[in-house]
Amino acid sequence: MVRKTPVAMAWTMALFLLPGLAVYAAFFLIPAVQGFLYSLYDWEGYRMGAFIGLENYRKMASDEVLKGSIVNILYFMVVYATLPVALGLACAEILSRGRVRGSLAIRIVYYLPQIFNLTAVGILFRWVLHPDYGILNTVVDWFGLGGLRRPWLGDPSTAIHAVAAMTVWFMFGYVMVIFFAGMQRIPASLYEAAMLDGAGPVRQFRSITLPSLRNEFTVILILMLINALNTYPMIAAATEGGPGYATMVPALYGFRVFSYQSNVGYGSAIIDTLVVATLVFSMGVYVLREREA
Amino acid sequence: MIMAARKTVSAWRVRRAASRVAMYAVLILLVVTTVTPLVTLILASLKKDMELIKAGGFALPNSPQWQNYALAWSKGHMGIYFTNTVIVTIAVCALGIALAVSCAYAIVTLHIPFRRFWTFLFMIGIVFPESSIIIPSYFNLRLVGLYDTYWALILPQTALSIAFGAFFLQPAFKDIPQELIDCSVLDGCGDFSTLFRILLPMLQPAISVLVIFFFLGTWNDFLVASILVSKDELRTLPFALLSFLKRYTANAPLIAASTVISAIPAVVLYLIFFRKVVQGVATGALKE
Repeated sequence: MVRKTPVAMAWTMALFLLPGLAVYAAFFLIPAVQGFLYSLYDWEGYRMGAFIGLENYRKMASDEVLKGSIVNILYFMVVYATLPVALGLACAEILSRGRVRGSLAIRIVYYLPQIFNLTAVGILFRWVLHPDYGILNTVVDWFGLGGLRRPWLGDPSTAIHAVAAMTVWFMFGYVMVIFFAGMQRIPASLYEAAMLDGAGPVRQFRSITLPSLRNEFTVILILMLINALNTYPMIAAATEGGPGYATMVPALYGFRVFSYQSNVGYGSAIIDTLVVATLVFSMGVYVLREREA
Repeated sequence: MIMAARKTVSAWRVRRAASRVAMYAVLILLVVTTVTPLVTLILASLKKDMELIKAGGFALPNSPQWQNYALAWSKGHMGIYFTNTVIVTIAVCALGIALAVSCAYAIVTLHIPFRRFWTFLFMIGIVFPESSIIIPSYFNLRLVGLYDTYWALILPQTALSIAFGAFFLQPAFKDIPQELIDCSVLDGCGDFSTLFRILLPMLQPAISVLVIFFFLGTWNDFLVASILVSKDELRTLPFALLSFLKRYTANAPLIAASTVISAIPAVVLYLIFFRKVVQGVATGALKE
Protein backbone atom coordinates (compact mmCIF):
# COMPACT_ATOMS: atom_id res chain seq x y z
CA MET A 1 0.00 0.00 0.00
CA VAL A 2 1.28 3.40 -0.96
CA ARG A 3 1.16 5.90 1.88
CA LYS A 4 -0.05 9.38 1.14
CA THR A 5 1.22 12.62 2.61
CA PRO A 6 -1.30 14.48 4.81
CA VAL A 7 -1.81 17.09 2.10
CA ALA A 8 -2.49 14.48 -0.56
CA MET A 9 -4.89 12.76 1.82
CA ALA A 10 -6.74 16.01 2.42
CA TRP A 11 -7.12 16.40 -1.34
CA THR A 12 -8.38 12.84 -1.64
CA MET A 13 -11.02 13.48 0.99
CA ALA A 14 -12.06 16.76 -0.59
CA LEU A 15 -12.44 15.11 -4.00
CA PHE A 16 -14.10 11.83 -3.08
CA LEU A 17 -15.79 12.12 0.30
CA LEU A 18 -16.75 15.78 0.50
CA PRO A 19 -19.26 16.10 -2.39
CA GLY A 20 -21.43 13.24 -1.17
CA LEU A 21 -21.03 14.16 2.46
CA ALA A 22 -21.97 17.80 1.77
CA VAL A 23 -25.21 16.93 -0.06
CA TYR A 24 -26.06 14.38 2.61
CA ALA A 25 -25.36 16.77 5.48
CA ALA A 26 -27.19 19.72 3.93
CA PHE A 27 -30.33 17.82 2.95
CA PHE A 28 -30.50 15.10 5.54
CA LEU A 29 -28.35 15.39 8.65
CA ILE A 30 -29.04 19.06 9.33
CA PRO A 31 -32.83 18.89 8.77
CA ALA A 32 -32.99 15.75 10.92
CA VAL A 33 -31.50 17.70 13.83
CA GLN A 34 -33.59 20.81 13.11
CA GLY A 35 -36.79 18.76 13.37
CA PHE A 36 -36.11 18.11 17.03
CA LEU A 37 -35.46 21.79 17.69
CA TYR A 38 -38.66 22.91 15.96
CA SER A 39 -40.78 20.86 18.33
CA LEU A 40 -39.53 22.97 21.22
CA TYR A 41 -40.99 26.23 19.88
CA ASP A 42 -44.38 27.86 19.89
CA TRP A 43 -44.59 28.18 16.14
CA GLU A 44 -47.76 28.74 14.19
CA GLY A 45 -47.65 30.19 10.69
CA TYR A 46 -44.49 31.51 9.10
CA ARG A 47 -42.65 32.96 12.06
CA MET A 48 -40.86 30.98 14.72
CA GLY A 49 -42.25 32.02 18.14
CA ALA A 50 -40.93 31.66 21.68
CA PHE A 51 -39.01 28.70 23.04
CA ILE A 52 -41.50 26.72 25.12
CA GLY A 53 -39.53 23.61 26.01
CA LEU A 54 -41.62 20.46 26.05
CA GLU A 55 -44.98 22.27 25.98
CA ASN A 56 -45.86 20.83 22.55
CA TYR A 57 -45.24 17.33 23.85
CA ARG A 58 -47.38 18.03 26.91
CA LYS A 59 -50.17 19.19 24.62
CA MET A 60 -50.17 15.77 22.97
CA ALA A 61 -51.45 14.15 26.16
CA SER A 62 -54.74 16.06 26.00
CA ASP A 63 -55.30 15.74 22.23
CA GLU A 64 -58.22 13.38 21.71
CA VAL A 65 -57.65 12.96 17.97
CA LEU A 66 -54.04 12.06 18.58
CA LYS A 67 -54.99 9.59 21.30
CA GLY A 68 -57.41 7.85 18.93
CA SER A 69 -54.74 7.74 16.24
CA ILE A 70 -52.26 6.17 18.67
CA VAL A 71 -54.77 3.44 19.49
CA ASN A 72 -55.14 2.86 15.73
CA ILE A 73 -51.42 2.69 15.11
CA LEU A 74 -50.95 0.23 17.98
CA TYR A 75 -53.57 -1.98 16.34
CA PHE A 76 -51.80 -1.67 12.98
CA MET A 77 -48.48 -2.54 14.59
CA VAL A 78 -49.94 -5.71 16.00
CA VAL A 79 -51.42 -6.60 12.60
CA TYR A 80 -48.17 -5.82 10.74
CA ALA A 81 -46.12 -7.91 13.15
CA THR A 82 -48.38 -10.96 12.93
CA LEU A 83 -50.48 -11.63 9.82
CA PRO A 84 -48.05 -10.74 7.00
CA VAL A 85 -45.24 -12.37 8.96
CA ALA A 86 -47.13 -15.65 9.38
CA LEU A 87 -48.31 -15.68 5.76
CA GLY A 88 -44.92 -14.66 4.39
CA LEU A 89 -43.14 -17.29 6.43
CA ALA A 90 -45.54 -20.05 5.40
CA CYS A 91 -45.21 -19.11 1.71
CA ALA A 92 -41.42 -18.89 1.90
CA GLU A 93 -41.24 -22.34 3.48
CA ILE A 94 -43.55 -23.92 0.90
CA LEU A 95 -41.78 -22.21 -1.99
CA SER A 96 -38.28 -23.05 -0.84
CA ARG A 97 -38.84 -26.62 0.37
CA GLY A 98 -41.95 -27.84 -1.42
CA ARG A 99 -40.57 -28.40 -4.95
CA VAL A 100 -43.30 -26.13 -6.27
CA ARG A 101 -43.76 -25.74 -9.99
CA GLY A 102 -43.55 -22.12 -11.12
CA SER A 103 -41.96 -21.07 -7.84
CA LEU A 104 -40.29 -18.06 -9.47
CA ALA A 105 -43.54 -16.84 -11.05
CA ILE A 106 -45.37 -17.18 -7.75
CA ARG A 107 -42.68 -15.20 -5.94
CA ILE A 108 -42.86 -12.50 -8.60
CA VAL A 109 -46.62 -12.21 -8.04
CA TYR A 110 -46.38 -12.13 -4.24
CA TYR A 111 -43.87 -9.31 -4.24
CA LEU A 112 -45.69 -7.33 -6.94
CA PRO A 113 -47.83 -5.16 -4.60
CA GLN A 114 -44.63 -3.69 -3.13
CA ILE A 115 -43.76 -2.19 -6.50
CA PHE A 116 -46.84 0.04 -6.53
CA ASN A 117 -46.64 3.46 -4.95
CA LEU A 118 -48.56 3.74 -1.70
CA THR A 119 -51.15 6.10 -3.18
CA ALA A 120 -51.93 3.62 -5.93
CA VAL A 121 -52.43 0.88 -3.34
CA GLY A 122 -54.80 3.10 -1.37
CA ILE A 123 -56.77 3.95 -4.51
CA LEU A 124 -56.85 0.31 -5.53
CA PHE A 125 -58.55 -0.61 -2.30
CA ARG A 126 -61.09 2.17 -2.65
CA TRP A 127 -62.11 0.11 -5.67
CA VAL A 128 -62.00 -3.30 -4.14
CA LEU A 129 -64.02 -2.13 -1.14
CA HIS A 130 -66.34 0.28 -2.95
CA PRO A 131 -69.97 0.07 -1.73
CA ASP A 132 -71.52 -0.07 -5.24
CA TYR A 133 -69.14 -1.79 -7.61
CA GLY A 134 -66.40 -3.03 -5.25
CA ILE A 135 -65.39 -6.60 -5.94
CA LEU A 136 -65.44 -7.57 -2.27
CA ASN A 137 -69.18 -6.93 -2.15
CA THR A 138 -69.59 -8.92 -5.37
CA VAL A 139 -67.70 -11.84 -3.84
CA VAL A 140 -69.81 -11.56 -0.69
CA ASP A 141 -72.90 -11.89 -2.92
CA TRP A 142 -71.50 -14.96 -4.67
CA PHE A 143 -71.34 -16.76 -1.36
CA GLY A 144 -74.91 -15.74 -0.58
CA LEU A 145 -73.79 -13.49 2.23
CA GLY A 146 -75.52 -10.40 0.88
CA GLY A 147 -76.23 -9.30 4.44
CA LEU A 148 -72.55 -8.58 4.88
CA ARG A 149 -72.49 -6.07 2.00
CA ARG A 150 -71.32 -2.72 3.25
CA PRO A 151 -69.14 0.29 2.43
CA TRP A 152 -66.12 -1.37 4.04
CA LEU A 153 -64.03 1.79 4.19
CA GLY A 154 -66.95 4.11 4.88
CA ASP A 155 -68.37 2.22 7.84
CA PRO A 156 -66.59 3.35 11.04
CA SER A 157 -66.84 -0.13 12.53
CA THR A 158 -65.12 -1.91 9.60
CA ALA A 159 -62.87 0.83 8.16
CA ILE A 160 -59.91 0.11 10.40
CA HIS A 161 -60.01 -3.63 9.73
CA ALA A 162 -60.36 -2.99 6.01
CA VAL A 163 -57.20 -0.86 6.13
CA ALA A 164 -55.47 -3.59 8.13
CA ALA A 165 -56.42 -6.17 5.47
CA MET A 166 -55.00 -3.86 2.83
CA THR A 167 -51.65 -3.75 4.64
CA VAL A 168 -51.55 -7.56 4.77
CA TRP A 169 -52.07 -7.68 1.01
CA PHE A 170 -49.29 -5.14 0.59
CA MET A 171 -46.72 -6.53 3.04
CA PHE A 172 -46.75 -10.33 2.99
CA GLY A 173 -44.71 -10.60 -0.20
CA TYR A 174 -42.01 -8.44 1.35
CA VAL A 175 -41.76 -10.78 4.34
CA MET A 176 -41.76 -13.78 2.01
CA VAL A 177 -38.84 -12.44 -0.01
CA ILE A 178 -36.67 -11.83 3.06
CA PHE A 179 -37.42 -15.21 4.64
CA PHE A 180 -36.95 -16.95 1.30
CA ALA A 181 -33.49 -15.39 0.91
CA GLY A 182 -32.64 -16.54 4.43
CA MET A 183 -33.82 -20.09 3.72
CA GLN A 184 -31.56 -20.35 0.67
CA ARG A 185 -28.60 -20.04 3.02
CA ILE A 186 -29.56 -23.06 5.17
CA PRO A 187 -27.37 -25.99 4.07
CA ALA A 188 -29.39 -28.75 2.36
CA SER A 189 -27.37 -31.36 4.28
CA LEU A 190 -29.21 -30.41 7.48
CA TYR A 191 -32.53 -31.34 5.90
CA GLU A 192 -31.13 -34.55 4.42
CA ALA A 193 -29.85 -35.63 7.82
CA ALA A 194 -33.22 -34.84 9.40
CA MET A 195 -35.01 -36.84 6.70
CA LEU A 196 -32.82 -39.87 7.39
CA ASP A 197 -33.77 -39.53 11.04
CA GLY A 198 -37.40 -39.74 9.99
CA ALA A 199 -38.38 -36.10 10.60
CA GLY A 200 -41.41 -34.98 8.59
CA PRO A 201 -41.80 -31.56 6.93
CA VAL A 202 -43.39 -29.96 10.00
CA ARG A 203 -40.66 -31.27 12.28
CA GLN A 204 -37.99 -30.08 9.84
CA PHE A 205 -39.57 -26.65 9.74
CA ARG A 206 -39.62 -26.43 13.55
CA SER A 207 -36.18 -27.86 14.22
CA ILE A 208 -34.16 -26.59 11.28
CA THR A 209 -35.82 -23.72 9.41
CA LEU A 210 -37.08 -21.69 12.36
CA PRO A 211 -33.87 -21.76 14.43
CA SER A 212 -31.78 -20.89 11.36
CA LEU A 213 -33.94 -17.85 10.64
CA ARG A 214 -33.64 -16.26 14.06
CA ASN A 215 -31.77 -13.31 12.62
CA GLU A 216 -34.32 -12.73 9.88
CA PHE A 217 -37.09 -12.98 12.45
CA THR A 218 -35.90 -10.16 14.67
CA VAL A 219 -35.18 -7.99 11.67
CA ILE A 220 -38.56 -8.69 10.10
CA LEU A 221 -40.48 -7.95 13.29
CA ILE A 222 -38.71 -4.66 13.75
CA LEU A 223 -39.06 -3.71 10.08
CA MET A 224 -42.76 -4.44 10.30
CA LEU A 225 -43.14 -2.11 13.29
CA ILE A 226 -41.16 0.60 11.48
CA ASN A 227 -43.27 0.09 8.37
CA ALA A 228 -46.47 0.30 10.40
CA LEU A 229 -45.38 3.76 11.56
CA ASN A 230 -44.37 4.94 8.09
CA THR A 231 -46.74 3.53 5.47
CA TYR A 232 -49.43 6.13 6.20
CA PRO A 233 -49.66 7.52 2.59
CA MET A 234 -51.62 4.36 1.80
CA ILE A 235 -54.16 5.35 4.45
CA ALA A 236 -54.19 8.92 3.20
CA ALA A 237 -55.27 7.66 -0.22
CA ALA A 238 -57.71 5.01 0.98
CA THR A 239 -59.61 6.86 3.71
CA GLU A 240 -57.87 10.17 4.52
CA GLY A 241 -57.99 8.99 8.11
CA GLY A 242 -61.78 8.75 8.06
CA PRO A 243 -64.63 8.20 8.37
CA GLY A 244 -64.33 10.81 11.10
CA TYR A 245 -61.01 9.83 12.64
CA ALA A 246 -61.67 6.08 12.52
CA THR A 247 -58.47 5.28 10.59
CA MET A 248 -56.36 8.30 11.54
CA VAL A 249 -52.72 7.53 12.34
CA PRO A 250 -50.18 9.83 14.04
CA ALA A 251 -47.97 10.45 10.97
CA LEU A 252 -50.92 11.53 8.84
CA TYR A 253 -52.23 13.66 11.67
CA GLY A 254 -48.83 15.25 12.32
CA PHE A 255 -48.40 16.32 8.70
CA ARG A 256 -51.98 17.61 8.69
CA VAL A 257 -51.30 19.74 11.75
CA PHE A 258 -48.28 21.10 9.88
CA SER A 259 -49.77 21.69 6.45
CA TYR A 260 -53.46 22.43 7.15
CA GLN A 261 -53.20 24.17 10.52
CA SER A 262 -49.69 25.57 9.88
CA ASN A 263 -48.74 24.57 13.42
CA VAL A 264 -45.05 23.85 12.88
CA GLY A 265 -44.14 23.32 16.53
CA TYR A 266 -46.91 20.90 17.38
CA GLY A 267 -46.71 19.05 14.04
CA SER A 268 -42.95 18.59 14.55
CA ALA A 269 -43.54 17.25 18.06
CA ILE A 270 -45.89 14.56 16.72
CA ILE A 271 -43.56 13.59 13.88
CA ASP A 272 -40.52 13.59 16.20
CA THR A 273 -42.25 11.23 18.58
CA LEU A 274 -42.67 8.85 15.65
CA VAL A 275 -39.06 9.34 14.63
CA VAL A 276 -37.93 8.45 18.14
CA ALA A 277 -40.17 5.37 18.13
CA THR A 278 -38.65 4.31 14.79
CA LEU A 279 -35.14 4.86 16.16
CA VAL A 280 -35.89 2.82 19.26
CA PHE A 281 -37.03 -0.08 17.07
CA SER A 282 -33.96 0.24 14.82
CA MET A 283 -31.67 0.24 17.85
CA GLY A 284 -33.48 -2.91 18.93
CA VAL A 285 -31.96 -4.72 15.94
CA TYR A 286 -28.45 -3.85 17.05
CA VAL A 287 -29.01 -4.70 20.69
CA LEU A 288 -30.49 -8.10 19.82
CA ARG A 289 -27.70 -8.73 17.31
CA GLU A 290 -25.00 -7.88 19.82
CA ARG A 291 -26.50 -10.15 22.43
CA GLU A 292 -26.61 -13.05 20.01
CA ALA A 293 -23.05 -12.56 18.79
CA MET B 1 -45.80 -58.57 6.00
CA ILE B 2 -45.50 -57.37 2.45
CA MET B 3 -49.18 -56.50 2.32
CA ALA B 4 -48.86 -54.41 5.49
CA ALA B 5 -45.84 -52.61 4.13
CA ARG B 6 -47.70 -51.87 0.90
CA LYS B 7 -50.58 -50.50 2.88
CA THR B 8 -48.40 -48.08 4.84
CA VAL B 9 -46.66 -46.98 1.64
CA SER B 10 -49.94 -46.27 -0.08
CA ALA B 11 -51.30 -44.46 2.99
CA TRP B 12 -48.14 -42.41 3.00
CA ARG B 13 -48.63 -41.63 -0.69
CA VAL B 14 -52.20 -40.49 -0.09
CA ARG B 15 -51.09 -38.27 2.76
CA ARG B 16 -48.34 -36.82 0.67
CA ALA B 17 -50.69 -36.14 -2.25
CA ALA B 18 -53.17 -34.51 0.10
CA SER B 19 -50.54 -32.27 1.58
CA ARG B 20 -49.36 -31.27 -1.88
CA VAL B 21 -52.93 -30.39 -2.87
CA ALA B 22 -53.30 -28.29 0.27
CA MET B 23 -49.98 -26.60 -0.45
CA TYR B 24 -50.95 -25.64 -3.98
CA ALA B 25 -54.39 -24.54 -2.81
CA VAL B 26 -52.83 -22.06 -0.37
CA LEU B 27 -50.36 -20.77 -2.96
CA ILE B 28 -52.97 -20.36 -5.67
CA LEU B 29 -55.48 -18.71 -3.35
CA LEU B 30 -52.84 -16.12 -2.48
CA VAL B 31 -51.92 -15.60 -6.13
CA VAL B 32 -55.59 -14.95 -6.91
CA THR B 33 -56.01 -12.55 -3.98
CA THR B 34 -52.90 -10.67 -5.02
CA VAL B 35 -53.69 -10.42 -8.70
CA THR B 36 -57.46 -9.92 -8.72
CA PRO B 37 -57.51 -6.32 -7.42
CA LEU B 38 -54.87 -5.38 -9.99
CA VAL B 39 -56.78 -7.01 -12.84
CA THR B 40 -60.03 -5.28 -11.89
CA LEU B 41 -58.16 -1.99 -11.75
CA ILE B 42 -57.09 -2.47 -15.37
CA LEU B 43 -60.61 -3.53 -16.33
CA ALA B 44 -62.04 -0.44 -14.63
CA SER B 45 -59.64 1.80 -16.52
CA LEU B 46 -61.11 0.57 -19.82
CA LYS B 47 -64.76 1.02 -18.97
CA LYS B 48 -67.26 3.81 -19.23
CA ASP B 49 -68.21 5.37 -15.94
CA MET B 50 -71.84 4.18 -16.00
CA GLU B 51 -70.78 0.77 -17.20
CA LEU B 52 -68.60 0.30 -14.12
CA ILE B 53 -71.44 1.21 -11.79
CA LYS B 54 -73.99 -0.99 -13.56
CA ALA B 55 -71.96 -4.08 -14.43
CA GLY B 56 -69.66 -4.16 -11.40
CA GLY B 57 -65.94 -4.66 -11.05
CA PHE B 58 -65.55 -8.12 -12.58
CA ALA B 59 -67.39 -7.53 -15.87
CA LEU B 60 -65.27 -7.16 -18.99
CA PRO B 61 -65.52 -3.77 -20.68
CA ASN B 62 -68.06 -3.69 -23.54
CA SER B 63 -65.67 -1.92 -25.82
CA PRO B 64 -62.29 -0.93 -24.33
CA GLN B 65 -62.23 2.81 -23.70
CA TRP B 66 -58.60 3.53 -24.51
CA GLN B 67 -59.40 7.21 -24.58
CA ASN B 68 -59.53 7.10 -20.77
CA TYR B 69 -55.75 6.88 -20.92
CA ALA B 70 -55.47 9.68 -23.47
CA LEU B 71 -57.76 11.81 -21.34
CA ALA B 72 -55.84 11.14 -18.13
CA TRP B 73 -52.57 11.85 -19.94
CA SER B 74 -53.56 15.20 -21.44
CA LYS B 75 -56.57 16.66 -19.63
CA GLY B 76 -55.67 15.07 -16.31
CA HIS B 77 -52.02 16.31 -16.65
CA MET B 78 -50.73 12.77 -16.14
CA GLY B 79 -48.26 13.46 -18.97
CA ILE B 80 -46.73 16.33 -16.98
CA TYR B 81 -46.58 14.36 -13.74
CA PHE B 82 -45.07 11.40 -15.57
CA THR B 83 -42.35 13.53 -17.17
CA ASN B 84 -41.57 15.14 -13.80
CA THR B 85 -41.23 11.76 -12.16
CA VAL B 86 -38.91 10.58 -14.93
CA ILE B 87 -36.70 13.68 -14.57
CA VAL B 88 -36.51 13.44 -10.79
CA THR B 89 -35.91 9.70 -10.79
CA ILE B 90 -33.10 9.85 -13.34
CA ALA B 91 -31.46 12.75 -11.53
CA VAL B 92 -31.60 11.01 -8.16
CA CYS B 93 -30.26 7.75 -9.59
CA ALA B 94 -27.37 9.47 -11.40
CA LEU B 95 -26.37 11.80 -8.56
CA GLY B 96 -26.98 9.20 -5.89
CA ILE B 97 -24.84 6.56 -7.57
CA ALA B 98 -21.99 8.95 -8.41
CA LEU B 99 -21.80 10.36 -4.89
CA ALA B 100 -22.37 7.07 -3.07
CA VAL B 101 -19.69 5.30 -5.12
CA SER B 102 -17.14 8.03 -4.51
CA CYS B 103 -17.90 8.08 -0.75
CA ALA B 104 -17.65 4.31 -0.40
CA TYR B 105 -14.45 4.37 -2.48
CA ALA B 106 -12.94 7.00 -0.20
CA ILE B 107 -13.96 5.19 2.97
CA VAL B 108 -12.98 1.64 1.98
CA THR B 109 -10.25 1.76 -0.65
CA LEU B 110 -8.52 5.11 -0.18
CA HIS B 111 -8.04 4.60 3.57
CA ILE B 112 -9.06 8.09 4.60
CA PRO B 113 -8.87 8.87 8.33
CA PHE B 114 -11.91 8.56 10.66
CA ARG B 115 -13.53 5.88 8.50
CA ARG B 116 -15.73 4.57 11.30
CA PHE B 117 -17.00 8.05 12.01
CA TRP B 118 -18.03 8.65 8.37
CA THR B 119 -19.73 5.28 8.24
CA PHE B 120 -21.60 6.13 11.42
CA LEU B 121 -22.77 9.44 9.90
CA PHE B 122 -24.16 7.65 6.86
CA MET B 123 -25.85 5.10 9.10
CA ILE B 124 -27.94 7.90 10.61
CA GLY B 125 -29.51 8.37 7.18
CA ILE B 126 -30.52 4.73 7.14
CA VAL B 127 -32.09 4.48 10.58
CA PHE B 128 -33.86 7.85 10.54
CA PRO B 129 -37.20 7.71 8.70
CA GLU B 130 -37.73 10.04 5.78
CA SER B 131 -40.49 11.86 7.65
CA SER B 132 -37.91 13.30 10.08
CA ILE B 133 -36.50 15.72 7.49
CA ILE B 134 -39.65 16.90 5.74
CA ILE B 135 -40.81 19.83 7.88
CA PRO B 136 -37.34 21.39 8.36
CA SER B 137 -36.54 20.84 4.66
CA TYR B 138 -39.62 22.87 3.76
CA PHE B 139 -38.23 25.91 5.56
CA ASN B 140 -34.61 25.32 4.50
CA LEU B 141 -35.53 25.04 0.84
CA ARG B 142 -37.62 28.21 1.08
CA LEU B 143 -34.69 29.99 2.69
CA VAL B 144 -32.27 29.14 -0.14
CA GLY B 145 -34.86 29.65 -2.87
CA LEU B 146 -35.11 26.01 -3.94
CA TYR B 147 -38.68 25.47 -2.73
CA ASP B 148 -40.99 24.69 -5.65
CA THR B 149 -38.15 23.72 -8.00
CA TYR B 150 -37.00 20.34 -9.29
CA TRP B 151 -34.12 20.55 -6.80
CA ALA B 152 -36.59 20.38 -3.91
CA LEU B 153 -37.61 16.97 -5.22
CA ILE B 154 -34.12 15.81 -6.18
CA LEU B 155 -31.75 16.85 -3.39
CA PRO B 156 -33.44 15.39 -0.28
CA GLN B 157 -33.92 12.08 -2.10
CA THR B 158 -30.31 12.14 -3.29
CA ALA B 159 -29.18 12.70 0.31
CA LEU B 160 -31.12 9.62 1.41
CA SER B 161 -29.73 7.60 -1.49
CA ILE B 162 -26.13 8.58 -0.68
CA ALA B 163 -26.51 7.34 2.89
CA PHE B 164 -27.93 4.02 1.82
CA GLY B 165 -25.54 3.61 -1.11
CA ALA B 166 -22.37 4.48 0.82
CA PHE B 167 -23.38 1.79 3.28
CA PHE B 168 -24.57 -0.79 0.79
CA LEU B 169 -21.44 -0.56 -1.41
CA GLN B 170 -18.84 -0.99 1.33
CA PRO B 171 -18.82 -4.82 1.31
CA ALA B 172 -18.46 -4.82 -2.50
CA PHE B 173 -15.45 -2.51 -2.25
CA LYS B 174 -13.97 -4.65 0.52
CA ASP B 175 -14.24 -7.74 -1.67
CA ILE B 176 -11.81 -6.31 -4.18
CA PRO B 177 -8.30 -7.65 -3.45
CA GLN B 178 -5.87 -5.00 -2.24
CA GLU B 179 -3.13 -6.37 -4.58
CA LEU B 180 -5.21 -5.42 -7.57
CA ILE B 181 -5.43 -1.84 -6.39
CA ASP B 182 -1.72 -1.75 -5.49
CA CYS B 183 -0.85 -3.03 -8.95
CA SER B 184 -2.85 -0.36 -10.67
CA VAL B 185 -1.19 2.30 -8.51
CA LEU B 186 2.24 0.89 -9.42
CA ASP B 187 1.20 1.00 -13.06
CA GLY B 188 0.81 4.70 -12.62
CA CYS B 189 -2.96 4.91 -12.21
CA GLY B 190 -4.17 7.75 -10.02
CA ASP B 191 -7.18 7.49 -7.69
CA PHE B 192 -9.57 8.40 -10.49
CA SER B 193 -8.32 5.98 -13.09
CA THR B 194 -8.10 3.17 -10.51
CA LEU B 195 -11.76 3.76 -9.75
CA PHE B 196 -12.88 4.00 -13.35
CA ARG B 197 -10.64 1.39 -15.01
CA ILE B 198 -10.28 -1.26 -12.32
CA LEU B 199 -13.02 -0.97 -9.72
CA LEU B 200 -16.15 0.15 -11.54
CA PRO B 201 -16.25 -2.82 -13.94
CA MET B 202 -15.92 -5.17 -10.96
CA LEU B 203 -18.58 -3.32 -8.97
CA GLN B 204 -21.10 -3.35 -11.76
CA PRO B 205 -23.39 -6.04 -10.22
CA ALA B 206 -23.65 -4.21 -6.88
CA ILE B 207 -24.19 -0.89 -8.62
CA SER B 208 -26.98 -2.20 -10.81
CA VAL B 209 -28.82 -3.51 -7.72
CA LEU B 210 -28.43 -0.06 -6.21
CA VAL B 211 -29.72 1.73 -9.33
CA ILE B 212 -32.88 -0.35 -9.28
CA PHE B 213 -33.30 0.26 -5.58
CA PHE B 214 -32.96 4.04 -6.05
CA PHE B 215 -35.26 3.99 -9.06
CA LEU B 216 -38.12 2.26 -7.26
CA GLY B 217 -37.68 4.34 -4.12
CA THR B 218 -37.73 7.63 -5.99
CA TRP B 219 -40.44 6.68 -8.46
CA ASN B 220 -42.79 5.80 -5.62
CA ASP B 221 -41.83 8.52 -3.17
CA PHE B 222 -44.76 10.34 -1.66
CA LEU B 223 -43.43 12.31 1.29
CA VAL B 224 -40.99 14.70 -0.38
CA ALA B 225 -43.39 15.34 -3.24
CA SER B 226 -46.33 16.02 -0.95
CA ILE B 227 -44.74 18.86 1.02
CA LEU B 228 -41.65 20.24 -0.72
CA VAL B 229 -43.35 21.42 -3.90
CA SER B 230 -46.77 23.02 -4.29
CA LYS B 231 -46.97 23.95 -7.98
CA ASP B 232 -49.04 21.62 -10.12
CA GLU B 233 -46.39 21.70 -12.89
CA LEU B 234 -43.85 20.15 -10.50
CA ARG B 235 -45.96 17.35 -9.05
CA THR B 236 -44.73 13.78 -9.28
CA LEU B 237 -47.01 10.79 -9.71
CA PRO B 238 -47.72 9.42 -6.21
CA PHE B 239 -48.85 12.75 -4.78
CA ALA B 240 -50.47 13.91 -8.01
CA LEU B 241 -52.63 10.80 -7.90
CA LEU B 242 -53.98 11.85 -4.54
CA SER B 243 -55.03 15.31 -5.70
CA PHE B 244 -56.31 13.74 -8.90
CA LEU B 245 -58.50 11.49 -6.79
CA LYS B 246 -60.09 14.49 -5.12
CA ARG B 247 -60.64 16.37 -8.39
CA TYR B 248 -62.19 13.52 -10.39
CA THR B 249 -63.96 11.49 -7.69
CA ALA B 250 -66.94 11.20 -10.01
CA ASN B 251 -64.95 9.66 -12.87
CA ALA B 252 -63.67 6.34 -11.56
CA PRO B 253 -62.31 4.95 -14.87
CA LEU B 254 -60.16 8.06 -15.32
CA ILE B 255 -58.66 7.57 -11.86
CA ALA B 256 -58.07 3.91 -12.63
CA ALA B 257 -56.27 4.79 -15.87
CA SER B 258 -54.06 7.30 -14.03
CA THR B 259 -53.24 4.76 -11.35
CA VAL B 260 -52.19 2.27 -14.02
CA ILE B 261 -50.04 4.89 -15.75
CA SER B 262 -48.31 5.72 -12.47
CA ALA B 263 -47.30 2.10 -11.93
CA ILE B 264 -46.24 0.95 -15.41
CA PRO B 265 -42.53 1.92 -15.46
CA ALA B 266 -41.86 0.49 -11.99
CA VAL B 267 -43.70 -2.73 -12.79
CA VAL B 268 -41.88 -3.19 -16.12
CA LEU B 269 -38.52 -2.64 -14.45
CA TYR B 270 -39.53 -5.07 -11.72
CA LEU B 271 -40.58 -7.81 -14.12
CA ILE B 272 -37.28 -7.56 -15.98
CA PHE B 273 -35.03 -7.35 -12.91
CA PHE B 274 -36.95 -9.35 -10.31
CA ARG B 275 -33.84 -11.07 -8.97
CA LYS B 276 -31.92 -7.85 -8.53
CA VAL B 277 -34.88 -6.12 -6.87
CA VAL B 278 -35.18 -8.96 -4.38
CA GLN B 279 -31.45 -9.03 -3.78
CA GLY B 280 -31.49 -5.33 -2.94
CA VAL B 281 -34.46 -5.75 -0.62
CA ALA B 282 -33.06 -8.76 1.22
CA THR B 283 -29.59 -7.34 1.79
CA GLY B 284 -30.97 -3.87 2.47
CA ALA B 285 -33.35 -5.17 5.10
CA LEU B 286 -30.79 -7.29 6.89
CA LYS B 287 -28.35 -4.45 7.04
CA GLU B 288 -30.69 -2.13 8.86
